[in-house]
Amino acid sequence: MRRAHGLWVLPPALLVAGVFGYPLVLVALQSARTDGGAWTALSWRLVTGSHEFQAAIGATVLIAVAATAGCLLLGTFFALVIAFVPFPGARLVSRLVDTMLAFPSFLIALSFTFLYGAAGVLHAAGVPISGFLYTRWCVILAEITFYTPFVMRPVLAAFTQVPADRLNVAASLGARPWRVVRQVILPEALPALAASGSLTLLLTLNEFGIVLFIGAKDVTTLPMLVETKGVVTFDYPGACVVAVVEVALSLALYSLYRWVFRRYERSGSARPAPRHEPDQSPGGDRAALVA
Amino acid sequence: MTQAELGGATRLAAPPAIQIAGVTVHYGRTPALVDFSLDVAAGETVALLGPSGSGKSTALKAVAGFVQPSSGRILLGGRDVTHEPPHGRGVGVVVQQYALFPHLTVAENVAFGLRARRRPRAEVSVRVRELLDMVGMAGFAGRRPRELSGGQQQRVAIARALAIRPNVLLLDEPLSALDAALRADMLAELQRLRDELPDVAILYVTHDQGEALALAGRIAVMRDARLVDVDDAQRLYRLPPSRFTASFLGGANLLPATVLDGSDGDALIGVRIGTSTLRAEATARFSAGQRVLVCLRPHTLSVREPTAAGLPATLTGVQWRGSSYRLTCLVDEPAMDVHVDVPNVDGLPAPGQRVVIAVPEVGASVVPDRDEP
Repeated sequence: MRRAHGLWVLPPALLVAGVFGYPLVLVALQSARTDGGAWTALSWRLVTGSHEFQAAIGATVLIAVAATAGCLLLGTFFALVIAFVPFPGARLVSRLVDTMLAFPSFLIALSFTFLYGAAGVLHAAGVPISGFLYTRWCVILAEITFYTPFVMRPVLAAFTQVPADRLNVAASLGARPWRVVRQVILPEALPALAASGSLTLLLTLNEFGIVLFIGAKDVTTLPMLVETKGVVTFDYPGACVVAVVEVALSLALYSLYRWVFRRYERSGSARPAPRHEPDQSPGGDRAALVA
Repeated sequence: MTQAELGGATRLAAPPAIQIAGVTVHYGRTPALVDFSLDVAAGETVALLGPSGSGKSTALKAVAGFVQPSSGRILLGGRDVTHEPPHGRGVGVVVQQYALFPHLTVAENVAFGLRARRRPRAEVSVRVRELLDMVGMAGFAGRRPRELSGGQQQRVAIARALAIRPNVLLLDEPLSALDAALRADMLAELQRLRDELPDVAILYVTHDQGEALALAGRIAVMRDARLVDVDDAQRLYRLPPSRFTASFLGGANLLPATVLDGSDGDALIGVRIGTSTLRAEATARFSAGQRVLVCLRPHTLSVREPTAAGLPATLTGVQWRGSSYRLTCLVDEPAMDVHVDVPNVDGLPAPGQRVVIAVPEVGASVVPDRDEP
């Protein structure tokens, strides 16, 4: 019976293998073969030994980690305000967040050009920020701006699930608002924070549109390097090497993120309880009462 | 209506532990509590009793600081806390679903308030052990709330509320999430705790009149966001001052009657029900000829042979309730059903049989025909 149920997994598994796994295998094979089909490590040696590649890895990880951290901080803060600080228009702000999720990422880059560019609003207002647009900090800021709603939405949903009674009781016990946030609200939203952080990390690792449209000098990320090698210099095997590394890096960082979060859950206040059934025996409650 | 007007107020030398003075609370435009006044002395237990939507939980939330009154004042131990946030009031609160922190252990839950008050670690540890011993949960200190049964969670919630040594304990339907057997056990547990906390004022919100009668020294009956009656629990049960209290607290037969001789206050007066006359206790001013209701508690009545003195009736139904029978009798005049609870005895009359409902000398009370708006 169980085997019959397992067969249902087969069609989607085949579909995923066909549309995702097979091309990935082709990319991996291309990175390790000559045009004649012979196995070679030349492309790997050349790409991984280059300064350009090593700098791209560093920039990719730095931007992704910094943007994810920024999104977590900002998204959590905004979600807290919307969920727990009543103000007129909170619902409108919440809807706007949903709308932002539907925007393409390059729109943020374009809006940054109008804000921080040489002919931008701030420059016209006399703010000395020339050159900021073409730094990695601008890329990070743009990614934080674009991806913060990806954290806000699930965290906001988690915050609204926290029973009001729990917050009230915490306050009655003497906890000031910041302590209530730290010790009651955030631990309950930890799964949502973990999930949204994972998602943001993966998305920022592979972000291409924002980096391309901002056109920051000296900011070459792995997706940019794939594009350069594959489309600009026609080094297709080199592009495949970078692509394989990028996939491996995404999976490795994602695993690291989950491992760190799990360690925090186990060691910190939010550790999950072992699964024990409550004492439902006939004397379970009464036995303790008498004790 | 204020508590002083309602009567039964305890005259207090020291400031009351809880003083609610003319408090009104609105949820949006809807009044949830209107001109509510009540004092609770240190060591006293007062139950707020009423149906859903009567405003009893809102009154408790106003005392705890969870809702802000639109008018009126709240004083704790003589200190005006009306505009003080909940964390500055120092009251212990236990709510219906316990609201334990699921990510903390039992001991960490109990320690939460002490840590919020930055008490020394050694003191926290001693106090937590003391409280867990007190509620019989010492063996569960390392467990998470989801590993506990409802009754155990309730005890942890009480320990957590008491850990901060509050002068005021607010209990909002703490037993309503438990099954009947466990509720009876926990009721006994709360009575024991009451005895162990002689200086703590307890405000106990419930819709269960059994809990209110078992735990409270005084009962405040609420309806439609207002205080209806407040008095000593036994007196309120025996001599309900209003039609609503008579029917909500304990269940009563309310028969229309006419006063035969007037009274100026506490007195035994004659009343006529149909063609029968009987004596009933009056607690307010009633004049001869006034239309009133007579409150007859089912357990004080008995059924006799048709020749005996009392209210002539026909037995229409018999319902076995385990420890007793509930008889439904159709009184001749006025033609109304009257319930009579009798113990398990042999020789019960059969439905259709003519009977007389006997009312003891001190078993009936006079209630105004209409409640005040």
